[in-house]
Amino acid sequence: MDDDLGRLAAQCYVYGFPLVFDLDQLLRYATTGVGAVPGSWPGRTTRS
Amino acid sequence: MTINNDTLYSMAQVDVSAGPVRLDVPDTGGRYYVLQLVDAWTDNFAYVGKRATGTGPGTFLLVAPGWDGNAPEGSTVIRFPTDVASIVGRWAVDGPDDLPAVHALQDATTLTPLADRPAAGVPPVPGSGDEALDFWERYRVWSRRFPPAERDRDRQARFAPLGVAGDAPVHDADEAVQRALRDGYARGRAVVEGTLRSGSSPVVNGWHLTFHAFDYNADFFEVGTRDDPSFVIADPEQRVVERAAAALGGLWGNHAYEAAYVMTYVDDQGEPLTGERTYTLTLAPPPPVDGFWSLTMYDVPHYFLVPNEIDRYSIGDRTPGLSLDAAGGVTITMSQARPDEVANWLPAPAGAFRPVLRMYVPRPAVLDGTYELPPVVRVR
Repeated sequence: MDDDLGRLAAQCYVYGFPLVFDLDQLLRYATTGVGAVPGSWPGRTTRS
Repeated sequence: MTINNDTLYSMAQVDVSAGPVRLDVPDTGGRYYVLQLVDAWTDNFAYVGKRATGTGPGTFLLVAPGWDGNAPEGSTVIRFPTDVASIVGRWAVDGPDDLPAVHALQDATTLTPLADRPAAGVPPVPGSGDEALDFWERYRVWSRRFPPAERDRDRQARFAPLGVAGDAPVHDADEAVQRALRDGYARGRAVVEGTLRSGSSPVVNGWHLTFHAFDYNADFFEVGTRDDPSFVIADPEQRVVERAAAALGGLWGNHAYEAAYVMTYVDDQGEPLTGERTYTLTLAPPPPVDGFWSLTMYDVPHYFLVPNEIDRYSIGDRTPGLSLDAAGGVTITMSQARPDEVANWLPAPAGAFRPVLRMYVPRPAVLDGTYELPPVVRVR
């Protein structure tokens, strides 16, 4: 059962990785900025 | 994204949850540019720019998935698949003297929220320091806030036994589920990295033809996209794994019909390219494009641009003084050592290198393989 769940989680990771990675990067650009470019959503939601 | 000196970038993160956002673009006087719109699941769902909408001024109304208002006359509605999206802008630039002109165009490209209240944003997900469980918690929160395409909803529902579809944080899941989540995190990551390493793109004369790496959007075809089976990965399992590999290897990459990138690591004898040798690449004819083309030099393994005595990091149809043969073909020399003639020289680093050929708005012959790139030939 554990291995079935682990397999399912691996499939879910492949499925969900683009969403999580995209929003991680979107938040990075929006809140902290990248390089010399400041964030465009200062003070807005971010991951702590 | 791989750094280049062909284009300047503009980045915007847009939230339409509170109401439409107006996008205004200026007349670029024929200059190549593209604003690529990417949703939260990394689907390229719209393009604005020279290929997609022309180079005249334009107004676009960016709206939420369920929006049903009336668009102002003269504006083109672009419906977001998810409430938030990124806009990745690329502007052709012809060198340092051209920067002020491009900066002026960037300044004239504006986003104006029309709502009188703040947008909802991306829900915050506090981190716990547990990398795997924090990933799953972000997945749980964000996959509910930004639902996927209809075709993926059954697939997503199948993951409910992992505790990633309900109200409870994954950190509260029982021990067996947490163990499975940690295991799946590592195994899933290995699958994505393995897919990226092995690659599914064809290789012709040493060139990796990555023309279909971003073809996973099967559902959202707003302005500038092509609802064309030849640019949609048909197999549903392959579509999901290729999407993940594309995100890891080249987040926010274009469809190849907007800009096609090919790269090679080897010469005509199958040996790794190195600046210790001299090579030629003969493009006869040069790549057929409606934008422009360039060949950019990168070192390996860092993929940085290569400093050199003539400050040339790429060569292409916009390079001043490029020498063509009588039939219009071009032969490029790649080496670290300076050749007698530098008009067509693309300086290489001392060690390993990888050139990338970019073809902005390629013609069909590029994408269907009729135009075949020759190998990089070792001459000494």
